[in-house]
Amino acid sequence: MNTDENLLRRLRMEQLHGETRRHFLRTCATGLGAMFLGTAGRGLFGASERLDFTRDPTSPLAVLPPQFAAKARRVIYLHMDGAPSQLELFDYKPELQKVSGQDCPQSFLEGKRFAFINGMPKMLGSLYPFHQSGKSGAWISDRMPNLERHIDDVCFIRSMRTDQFNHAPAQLLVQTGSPRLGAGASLGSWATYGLGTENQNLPGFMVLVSGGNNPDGGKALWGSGFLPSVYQGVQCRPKGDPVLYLSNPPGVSRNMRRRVLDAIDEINQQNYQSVGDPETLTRVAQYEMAFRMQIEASEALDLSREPDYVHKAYGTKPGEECFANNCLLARRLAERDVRFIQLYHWGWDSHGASAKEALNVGFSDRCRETDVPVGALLDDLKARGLLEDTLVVWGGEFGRTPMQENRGGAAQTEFKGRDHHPGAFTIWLAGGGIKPGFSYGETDAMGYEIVENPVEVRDLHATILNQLGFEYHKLSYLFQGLEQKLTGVLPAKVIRDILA
Amino acid sequence: MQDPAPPARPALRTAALLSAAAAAPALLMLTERMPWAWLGPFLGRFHTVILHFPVALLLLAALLEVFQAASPGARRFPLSVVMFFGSMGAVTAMALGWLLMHADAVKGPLVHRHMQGGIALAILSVVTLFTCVLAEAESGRRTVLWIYRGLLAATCVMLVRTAHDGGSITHGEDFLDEYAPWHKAKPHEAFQFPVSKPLAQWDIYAHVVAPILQERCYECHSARNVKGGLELGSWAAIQRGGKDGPVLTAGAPEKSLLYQRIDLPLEHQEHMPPRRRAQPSPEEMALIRRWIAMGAPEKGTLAAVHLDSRLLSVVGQLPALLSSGAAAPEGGDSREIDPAAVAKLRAGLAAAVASLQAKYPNIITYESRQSADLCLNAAPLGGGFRDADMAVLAPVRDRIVWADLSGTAVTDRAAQAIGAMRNLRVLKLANTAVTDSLVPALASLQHLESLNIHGTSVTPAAMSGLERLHALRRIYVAFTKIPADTPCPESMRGKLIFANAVAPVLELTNLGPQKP
Repeated sequence: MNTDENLLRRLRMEQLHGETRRHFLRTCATGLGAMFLGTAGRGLFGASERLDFTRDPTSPLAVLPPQFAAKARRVIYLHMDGAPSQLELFDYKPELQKVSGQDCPQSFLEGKRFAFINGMPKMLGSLYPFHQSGKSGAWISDRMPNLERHIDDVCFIRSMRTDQFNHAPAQLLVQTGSPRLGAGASLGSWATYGLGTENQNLPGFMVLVSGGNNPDGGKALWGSGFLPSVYQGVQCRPKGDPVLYLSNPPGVSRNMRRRVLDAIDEINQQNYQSVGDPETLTRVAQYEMAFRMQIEASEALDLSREPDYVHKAYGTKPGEECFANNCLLARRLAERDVRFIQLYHWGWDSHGASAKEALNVGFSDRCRETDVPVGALLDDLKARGLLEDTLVVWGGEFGRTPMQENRGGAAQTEFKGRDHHPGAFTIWLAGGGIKPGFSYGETDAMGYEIVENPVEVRDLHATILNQLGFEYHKLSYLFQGLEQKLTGVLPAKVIRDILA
Repeated sequence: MQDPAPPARPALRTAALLSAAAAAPALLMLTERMPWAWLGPFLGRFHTVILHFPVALLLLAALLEVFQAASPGARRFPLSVVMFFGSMGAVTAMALGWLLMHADAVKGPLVHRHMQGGIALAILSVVTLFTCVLAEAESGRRTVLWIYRGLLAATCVMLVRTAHDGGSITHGEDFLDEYAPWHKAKPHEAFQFPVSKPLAQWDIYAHVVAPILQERCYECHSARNVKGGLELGSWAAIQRGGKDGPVLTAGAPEKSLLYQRIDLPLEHQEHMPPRRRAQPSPEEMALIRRWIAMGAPEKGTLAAVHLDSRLLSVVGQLPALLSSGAAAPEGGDSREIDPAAVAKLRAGLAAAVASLQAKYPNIITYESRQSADLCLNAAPLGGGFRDADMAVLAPVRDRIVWADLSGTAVTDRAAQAIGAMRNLRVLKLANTAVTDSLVPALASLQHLESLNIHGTSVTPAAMSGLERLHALRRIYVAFTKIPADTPCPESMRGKLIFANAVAPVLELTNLGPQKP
């Protein structure tokens, strides 16, 4: 025992003899460095002043004030699934018209990947005539005459770009900030996480899909990702009752329903006490909201309460799946202080492979389906004073090529189409403190590459969050050791030039 | 020292040599006479670096001397070495400070005192060095030792005084003890705001521009501390300008240095106020701009300038701003806001806000995390929110800037309570039972920018009452008894927003399939 101790001490002494000045300094440096990083250094990485989003777990949607005074209190996001062609709507390219039908320059193809274009495609000028409109003199085609009535209310960004050229990842990028499934939380869930919702009788984030195809990105588009699931979007059914089982079945009174819920809540609370899973509380909160929704939501979602002239203005089709119904619903929900209202329209993927997908047929139908209700929605928001504090965003997930698609290199058909193009597309925003009657960014003469003021998807996100009252890097959530943000880890910028 | 004392003459010579060497950097002051004009300003900036050496070294020398005196038997430290570098540093810092003062045209009593202190310190430290060397060499002579110690003490006193003055010039006079419990904020030279007069009769310079300049610029540009030769403390002083010439070009803000420097991007090197200081809000900048645009007059009332509601409301908040130190409410920017001032305002409201939030959860919230202003959104309560509920808001009514009462059960009986929310910028009364008789009560809402009365039974008779709300820019009157073709006064034109009478364009021709 004694010998052992002696040996150990000797060994320790030997080690200390071997200890040099360098060892000493190195130990100091790491120790001090770690202490520094643990305290003052956090400030260097912007971690020192995190905003606090903690709430009473039983009311996860309680209202929290924004970081700074917000210009927009709510958002209506009109996503055109399939990516509408900017060259047939907003991005006027007379030079492209002149070379229409000619072979595409080789330089357009080098180093590029396309979803469908093969070999040597032909250039394709806009199928529809353009003209200048409004006091702002913005160029617009003849496809959206009702939007055109509001041309001095909207702000075009003609220089959007993305790095995804397939629908699902591109939609995920636009809606959740990440092209990977479930890797990001959606815009709407960030908004409700950051701000909560004032109307506790309705979900804070509602999703209206207008029938037909669901978006390729799937329900993850309005998922909450790493955020607690209570912030995910609540999808309304496109046809029939928007929300099922809002009314109690025969023989069940509201009182009885209340007692059932109380019993379930008690069991859930016990479960939470023993397991501590916050999702249990989420469930409790959802039950409670559903109970409150039984009254308010039935009324909010009941389009028959609108007078005839409103139905006429929107072109609604009661009982059917249609975008017009959803636009009217969006206005009713905005009036009721729903924080984020997400609409999806579909069928904009104009490859030209069939009539439905052709720029000269289906595309025109899509314009007709959306133009009247969007025009009416803007009319309505304006007249009711909602446009002042509601941000409206319209856009797809990417743009379309100035080359005509030659699927599989096949000969040109009677249907015209364009391929996916992540390099440039146009979106518009209106209301919510955005500069009206303004255009931002520019593409080259062919509408192929951006030549001025490129806007990344994360810049758009940063701008939307700015209007909601947040610096994009301050709206964050600690998950897997990283401060997760809608804009991801790359630097984003708020497009100050488009702010009113 | 155990060694026998060396002869006096070599010691004197060593002392004289060392002192001369320490004093040599004073020659740096001559760079001003050299042909390279950039050299002086360049070296001058190093004043802020070098000055730390004498501070540390001279204090270290004193500290070591104290130890020395406390334990006389111990081996003597080579204190003269520390003293040598300390006094050399003091002389260098003095010389560079001289250059900096001239290069940046810094003036004012504080700067003058710092300069005198610096010169005195440099001389004193060199003399101390001289006696130090002597004292070390001639350990036998107690008189020399005590003269040296006395001088060292004097040097330290001078050092602390001078260093503190220097710090005050850079950081502001109450920087050091700002958070000390005994600290009392220096009372602002009390501005007499003519609060009883309407805003239009306020003087644009005396009641608007001067307070803003005081808040944002006086720290470095007042009679007491004149950086860049620029004094902004009085109208006459502003006209004199600074070292780069006049700062005002009457009528042309873009050509006026005063505005240019504020307007530069925050990251720009020349931006004023310096990046880490509180920045003027966009509205404050706009007010300064307007003042310069109208010729930067000393006298002249706000009536002569057309200010929009946003600016007017900022002017109205100036007295509160200067007494609390809070920045004006912000919109979408991360300019600095004084959290302490907001916290103070919130503390006064806390109890009332908490009880309201308990009664109406999620309905009353702060406008933002940086603000003590409140938003009231009673719309989700619908018919459950009545006239009687308005009374509950009384304790916080002055701080409500945004109120949505759409679809609630409020009626004309709430008129007084609504009129009492004097800081309202947005008021929504859509789809309520209010009528024309509510309108007179709105006359007190001089900051109101947006009024939403769509879906009410308000008639054109209400228009004359609304006309007097000068800040009002948008009035939503769709679905009221005000027809779109109603004759309206010139001042109201463009403010009234009706339902769009244009029928949607329904026809859209299909191109149909085209043959290739």
